[in-house]
Amino acid sequence: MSTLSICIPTRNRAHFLERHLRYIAAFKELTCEVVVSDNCSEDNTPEVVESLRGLLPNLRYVRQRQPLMAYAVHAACCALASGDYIFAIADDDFTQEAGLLRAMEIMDQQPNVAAVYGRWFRHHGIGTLEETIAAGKSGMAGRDRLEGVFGREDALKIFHEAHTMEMPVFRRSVFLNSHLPLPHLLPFDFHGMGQFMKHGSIAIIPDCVVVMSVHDQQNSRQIYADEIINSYLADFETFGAGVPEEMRRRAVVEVDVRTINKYLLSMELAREQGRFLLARQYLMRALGHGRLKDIRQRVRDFEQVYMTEMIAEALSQFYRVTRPTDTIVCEDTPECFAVAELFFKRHPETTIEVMDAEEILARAHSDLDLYFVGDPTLPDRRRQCVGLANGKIRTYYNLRSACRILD
Amino acid sequence: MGILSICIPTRNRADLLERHLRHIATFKSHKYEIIVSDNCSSDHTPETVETIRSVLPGLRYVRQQEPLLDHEVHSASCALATGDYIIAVSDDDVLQEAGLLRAIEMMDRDSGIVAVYGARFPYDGARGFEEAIAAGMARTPRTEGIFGRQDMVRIFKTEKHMTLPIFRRSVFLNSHLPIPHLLPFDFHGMARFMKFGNIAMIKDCTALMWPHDQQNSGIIYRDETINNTLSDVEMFVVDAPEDSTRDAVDTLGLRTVAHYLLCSDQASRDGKFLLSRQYFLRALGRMTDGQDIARSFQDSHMVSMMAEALSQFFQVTGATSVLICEDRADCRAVADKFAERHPDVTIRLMNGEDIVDRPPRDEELYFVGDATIPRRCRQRFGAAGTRIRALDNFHNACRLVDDPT
Repeated sequence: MSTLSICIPTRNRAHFLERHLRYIAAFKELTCEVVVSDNCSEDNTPEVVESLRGLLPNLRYVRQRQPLMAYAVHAACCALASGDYIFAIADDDFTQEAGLLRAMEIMDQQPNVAAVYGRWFRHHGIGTLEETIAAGKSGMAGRDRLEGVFGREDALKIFHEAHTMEMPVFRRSVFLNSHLPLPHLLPFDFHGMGQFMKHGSIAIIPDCVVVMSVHDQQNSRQIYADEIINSYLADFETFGAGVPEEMRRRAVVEVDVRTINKYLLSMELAREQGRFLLARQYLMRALGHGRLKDIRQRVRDFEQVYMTEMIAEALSQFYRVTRPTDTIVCEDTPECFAVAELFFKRHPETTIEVMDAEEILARAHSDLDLYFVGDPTLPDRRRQCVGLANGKIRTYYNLRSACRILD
Repeated sequence: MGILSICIPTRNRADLLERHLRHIATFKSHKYEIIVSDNCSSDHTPETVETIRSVLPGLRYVRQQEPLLDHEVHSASCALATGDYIIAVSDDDVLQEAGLLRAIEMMDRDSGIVAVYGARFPYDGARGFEEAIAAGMARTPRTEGIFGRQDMVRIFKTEKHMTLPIFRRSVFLNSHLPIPHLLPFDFHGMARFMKFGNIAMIKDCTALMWPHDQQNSGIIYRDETINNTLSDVEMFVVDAPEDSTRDAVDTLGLRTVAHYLLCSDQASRDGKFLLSRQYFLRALGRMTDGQDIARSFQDSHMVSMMAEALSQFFQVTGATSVLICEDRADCRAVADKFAERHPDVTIRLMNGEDIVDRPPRDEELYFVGDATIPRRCRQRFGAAGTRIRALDNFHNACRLVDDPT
């Protein structure tokens, strides 16, 4: 009978680790060892692990001698695995015995299968795990989903269709010859799959291998953060580098398409979070790859809906770097007023005074005033009236023009 | 002559700032506005600026109320400028008046020019500025010219960077935003200027770069530097004229590949061979050919990559302090490089049969040439026999290309 190594990296989350280990201890059939790689926890992780040894005789605990970088933690715990197969999983998830047994059965029967990919579902703490799995499966029903055994010739098809390819159960013997801990790279996604495929096939099965718990301590980063974007790009690109020679041309296109989609996703997220200039930037980055259809229409739609928001954000940036400011003087035009309203939501601490052009021209100079005006000639006219160059003035046209994406 | 605003962001580098400001104070023409934007320095920057007021009466000092992000510091210093023209320059550079005057003159004369790009040369502090400029000009002479939008993609193909422009404030207000994940004023910045007119390139030196200890030159392969660079070139393409979009997109692909190869090169020079390999793979992922250069990369760096992989394995195995290496030339070559990284680790050479018979100990890690040894050890000692890797394991894991079949 073959054995499985369940490899769990952890750091300062003893209670989650305990929960997961107790869950695994209740497995009835699975022959497994559990390897815990402790990334220098400062909490009671070592004691918790000791206390569980009675329940889990095949538990191996390795404490890292120095804190590992994020990308190295998975590789570190897999490095010590001794089973025929390996499964690397987070401390806060729930590994599913039935799915793992199925994966092992497939690899026992088909020596050419190097890795098996099951499903995972998110558990929000409502109802039982079984209910989450059942709900997840019915939610997936009707959706076109890849299933079956795939060889290297299918690599691009999977890359094109699958959202991600995470949480494989894989052969240790193949892993040793195919995987390295890589910086700027999430382990075990497309690049990982490509590496497995150099040594055999992969299987995608409908069975659930993990229920992921959703909780407060999750340190989920934004996908548009530098390191996350770079990890995704690195994953796509290193995957692309691994496809066979005759598929290279298509691979380059597919890498580009996924890059664009990642940027568009970043745009969506930034927009939802009220970061409109960042959303604009990711839209532009996606457009830069020249593959999107109806570019002009897309841009027009984006500008139409978010122009006022973008201008308000640009005004807010201008305000932030030119403080101290006591009063925002806003010209009494509908466009300026609409921007000022959104600006005020970002900076409720400010005083905004709405005036017409004549009042603005007549107002005495103060370093503590910031002007936002509609009439593009006002800055020059005021400069002549007051006899003083003032940097703290912007027109609606300035900011609109700077925010525009295309001509 | 139009007035130039010299905008200098700074943070905790009072001495460098003082050096630069004192140099600017020697400029003969009086058409300058100097703005220092202090990004919350905790050193004596405010006092330094005060003492310099006597030699630079027009100096304006703005202290930021909260620390700004990298991408905001340049635009923050430009935000308050009131001159006809602006140059945003770092506190540790040394502006050159002759070049600035030439740029101002050009824009005074030709209202179609919105930005002028001068030359920027390194300065080692050992000789005079003039000598450094002459040396720079002799080494990297540039062609002068005025370029419009039809030339955008050509510039994108030939120039490494387009930094340190002197530009019209009136255009800047309508064209530039502080953009995250982006260094200001490179290709995207140039494209924005070109929406409003031409740009000029001049051979004159506008600034010398004076290297120093406090330089935090972003290493090119860091996440944020990579993301900035990609952002800049991707956003540039959006502004390319429609009839040259295809050409711009192709150039973007080539530039991305070239940049990854540069990162790969830098990483290997820094002794980070697996990172170097990764950037090489990233370049390959965007190329339709490249198997040949990949093979030659593999040939030159394989031993170093394996040594680094062995080092990573060693680091994550807990309490190990001894490496037992099979006594054969290929393993020894890797172990020698491993020893450079881990001078504190004892390395013992042993033949294969002795390794198979030797009971595992917690402090020992094995590295062997005969690929069957790990299996034999594991059969004999079970889980305890897994702290062992064969050279083939690392060799296969480090490869970039498949064996020719």
